[in-house]
Amino acid sequence: MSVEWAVITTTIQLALTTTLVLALMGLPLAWWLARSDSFIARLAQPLVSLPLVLPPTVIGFYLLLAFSPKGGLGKLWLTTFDRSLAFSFAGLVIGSTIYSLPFFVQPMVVAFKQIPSSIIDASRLLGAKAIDRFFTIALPLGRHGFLVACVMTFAHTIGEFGIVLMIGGNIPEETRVVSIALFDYVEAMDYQRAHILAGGLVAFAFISLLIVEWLNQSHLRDSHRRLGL
Amino acid sequence: MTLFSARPAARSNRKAGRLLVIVLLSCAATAKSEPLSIAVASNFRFTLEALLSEGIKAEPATYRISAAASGLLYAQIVNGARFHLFFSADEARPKRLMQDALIVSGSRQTYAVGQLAFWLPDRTADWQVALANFEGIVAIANPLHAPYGQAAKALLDHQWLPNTHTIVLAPNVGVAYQYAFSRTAKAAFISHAQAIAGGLPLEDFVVVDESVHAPIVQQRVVLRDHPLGDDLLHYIDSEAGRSHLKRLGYLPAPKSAEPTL
Repeated sequence: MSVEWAVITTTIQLALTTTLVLALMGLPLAWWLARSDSFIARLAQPLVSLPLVLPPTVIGFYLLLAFSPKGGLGKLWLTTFDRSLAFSFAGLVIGSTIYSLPFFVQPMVVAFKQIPSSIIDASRLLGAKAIDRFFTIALPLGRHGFLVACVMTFAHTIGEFGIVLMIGGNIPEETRVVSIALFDYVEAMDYQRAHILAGGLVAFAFISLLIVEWLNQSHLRDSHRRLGL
Repeated sequence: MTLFSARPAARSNRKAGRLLVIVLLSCAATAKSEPLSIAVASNFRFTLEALLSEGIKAEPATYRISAAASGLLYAQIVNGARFHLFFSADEARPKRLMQDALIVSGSRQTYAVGQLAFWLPDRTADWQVALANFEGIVAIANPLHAPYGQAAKALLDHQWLPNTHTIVLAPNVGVAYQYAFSRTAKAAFISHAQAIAGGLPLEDFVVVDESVHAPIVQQRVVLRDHPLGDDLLHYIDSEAGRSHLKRLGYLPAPKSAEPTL
């Protein structure tokens, strides 16, 4: 009565990779959204939040079509890497990145917006370039938001189900993740194994949210201390 | 003034009273004609709808269909979902329900035998050549819990296709169909009924000879009696119903389909 370990390692791998990709892509995106007042930025904000309200099946369905060797992205991938993008780990990373995008970007935007513009203006007057300002001011001051964003992204990706179900193909050690294995156990009436995975997911989600709560508390204490309260 | 207003008031009172009676009566009537509530395995859904609307000409308001995977429906029934009928995609769940004493006794019976179909959308060569040279991704329903997946897996285990294929597992035949439809998979094992319901061109799929794999026996049980449910089951057992099922892509149950105990 043991669950496959490969399922758990694949899930963690997927969540780590997604968090890493979002850290690289999401940080500049959040910085731009937090600072820009342009029309495009105002359009981009709800676009980023779309995965929050869309059913995962909508995203999964469009991704399935896009990943098809007949679709644009799938065709490009096939000719470049000589393998299918659908039913691959890389495909899941793309799906999870889209799905978890708001969970990374939104806390980052909030964190960046809290940085007083006077500090940024001062650094600009002192001659700091945009890249400098991002790395020496925005990142250190937004580190609390960054930690929250990473934990949320990681946790949310662990719990992803709908998109993986549609584009994953349930391949062991590649696209079979915990939520899919759980679905299979329930379907096969193997409730004992289902309990192990479901219970594990509940515990994991609780701990993640506990960490976020703890991060928020310590951030609050920090800012109170800085203000001398 | 008071005299004049008294009469219409009395009349409207009487009217209201009559209305109340009508409302109460119609409430009682609807309570009596509770719609037939059917749990059905996803693969049989469209067939069931056709049997209801064309076969016994049931009004859409008189029945409610819940289509999902058999395993999920089983879990719902065990946990108190109040369906009248359950059309499973296999024998195992109806049998479990019988052992759980949740069915009307003697109501477990085979209603159809599923036919597996192999869908190869962009076939260029004739079938023999196309199958012998098949290469790429083939989608099947998950054999862990889907009967059509088990049948497909049995075929693939016996080299029905050359070893140049990769299997991807869909949660059910519906998603396997989607994979081939979007061409993310090159081919898929689906049900014959899906191929018919989806209007697939005849040259794009083959129905697999059922002697090559264990028959996909689909059973039903009665959970609660309902007059429309009786009509439906009688129709499915009748000659007309059996040939209707055949047209829709199922083999009718063996003639000697006595209640299996």
